[in-house]
This record gives sequence, C-alpha cells and structure tokens, in this order.
Amino acid sequence: MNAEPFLQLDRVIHEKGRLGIMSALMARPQMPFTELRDLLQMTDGNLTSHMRTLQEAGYVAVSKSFQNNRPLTTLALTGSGEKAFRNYVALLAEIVEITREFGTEPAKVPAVK
Amino acid sequence: MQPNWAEENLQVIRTIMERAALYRRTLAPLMLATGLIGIVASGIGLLTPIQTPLTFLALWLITATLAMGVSLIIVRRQAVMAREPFSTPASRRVIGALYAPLCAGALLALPAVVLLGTGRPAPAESVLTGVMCVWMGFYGCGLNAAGQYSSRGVRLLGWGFIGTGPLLATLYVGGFLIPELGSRVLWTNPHAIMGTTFGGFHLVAAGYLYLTESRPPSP
Repeated sequence: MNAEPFLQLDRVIHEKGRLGIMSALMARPQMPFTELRDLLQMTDGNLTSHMRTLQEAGYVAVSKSFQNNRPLTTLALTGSGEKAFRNYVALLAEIVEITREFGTEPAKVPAVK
Repeated sequence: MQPNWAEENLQVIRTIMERAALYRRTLAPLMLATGLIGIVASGIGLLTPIQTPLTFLALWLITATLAMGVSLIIVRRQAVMAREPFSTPASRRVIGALYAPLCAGALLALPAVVLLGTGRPAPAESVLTGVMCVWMGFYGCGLNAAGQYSSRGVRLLGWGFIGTGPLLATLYVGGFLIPELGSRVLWTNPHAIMGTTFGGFHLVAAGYLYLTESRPPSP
C-alpha cells in the first residue's frame, strides 16, 4: 500500500475516541459535555482525557458556564480543528481509493518514490 | 491491520455525524400540546351551532396553524432553556421535511373551499372526506420525513396518519358499496373523526415519546 497518505494521518484525530468527538463536533457547532458523552457512550473520565488532548492540539475549544446554577461544559470545534478533520477525512478517502485500485497485495502496489 | 480500516473509519465518522445531527429536542410536550389543541378544536366543532363544510375547513385550517405556532413556541423555549440556537441544521432539516407536505395539504384544500364557497350544490360530504384523507396522507408523509431526522415515535405517528387517510377513504366508499357495513355513520360529524385522529394520535404519540425519549442531559 502506498504509505504516504497513511503517514500523513493526524495521530491526534486517528484515535477512535477522539475521532468520535471530532465527528460529532463537525455535525454540531457546539455540544454540551454530557450530550457528547451519551452520544459516544464514553465515561466522564475517558471523554475528559480525550477532550484535553484535543484542546492541547488546538482542535477543540472548551467553555465552562452556569445554567440553572449548575456548571455546563460545552465543546466546540476550532477553525484549525475543522481544517485538520477535513484533511484527515480526505486522506482516509485517498487510502480507500488506493486500496480499491491496487488491493492489498504488496506486489500490485506501486512503490513510493 | 485490516485492509478496509480506512473505509470502516469513514463509516464510523458518517454514523456519528448523522447521530449528532439528529434533532434532539424533547418532542413529547410538543405532541401533547398539538393533541390537546386537536381535542379542543374537535370539541368546539361538535358544540358549535353552525355546522357547514366551510366552517369545518376553516376551523381545522386555523387549528393546524395554531398547532404549528404553539409547536414553534415550545421548541424555541426549549432552545432558550438549553442556551442553544433555535435554528440549527437539524431543526432546519425537520422543518424542511414538514414544510412541503403541509403546504401541499393546505393548498389542496383551497379548491374545496372555493367549490363549497360558491354555494353550488356540491357533494359536501365527499369533498370533506377527500380533503380529510388528503390532509392525513400529506401530514403523515411530512411527519415520516421529519422523523428521519428525529425520533422513531415521529416516524410511527407519520405512518399512523398515512394508514388512516386511505382507511377512512375505504370506509367511506365501502359505506356506499356495502350499506350493511354501517361505516357511513362515521361521517355524521367529521369533527369527531378529526378529533380522534389529529388529537388522539398526537396524544398517543406524546405518551410514547414520554416513555421512550431520553431526558435532556443534566448539565
């Protein structure tokens, strides 16, 4: 398989949990922490851990506020997060194309120059 | 590594994006309000001294408009409470799915209004039956389409109306063909039929949604 697109895949997004968070935030401009947790069926700790990683990468903005005197944590995708996600999906599509074209047998796959 | 992992990842992304984009407002109060409006309208229709086909059409067109207005107010209130925008991609999809069938149903009632308004001897009962069945069919289609972006309960309600429209038409025609069927008794007061279907179905849907909808997540 042509390894170039695979090597370009963003490791931050590539992890299953973070990919789920990014996908959900692409579909909704912003999501409350609890709704995201329920949608992705994650534990609070797991989601918090992934949220921090994405926040540190600058892909997700986290805002904390109060609603009915209770804290509300909301996640939103940043501009660079959206760009990184689109790039990730484009690379995945490219990998799918390569796999369809050449199959998975190494002999059929052209070597990377 | 599995050879199709990239395709699987794309499928996961697609599924999560679809789920995240679903309309997630609590629909039970909306159905309850619409059902109650339908029942009240039916009561007004049954008790009102003037029973003409035109008053029937006017009453139920006003009822539909009122139900839509109240529904929008409830949805807006929910959005304000959740501190989220009223207009979201999901809400726009739901409104878009409902919009065309509702407009079509309302527009198809216009020829009936014109015909009945001329005062010519028209088969009023047939016209009203046709309008009711068409309304139910179109409304059912709209709900079913909107349900693709919201919950199963809305889709089921849609199918309820889609099934009821043709059923009523069949009973009406059957009443002529087989008088023993006794189905013509149904048409003695169309307000009762509308109350049972429009009002009753929404109340049943409200109960179903109340039991099945997940509560809004606590912050």
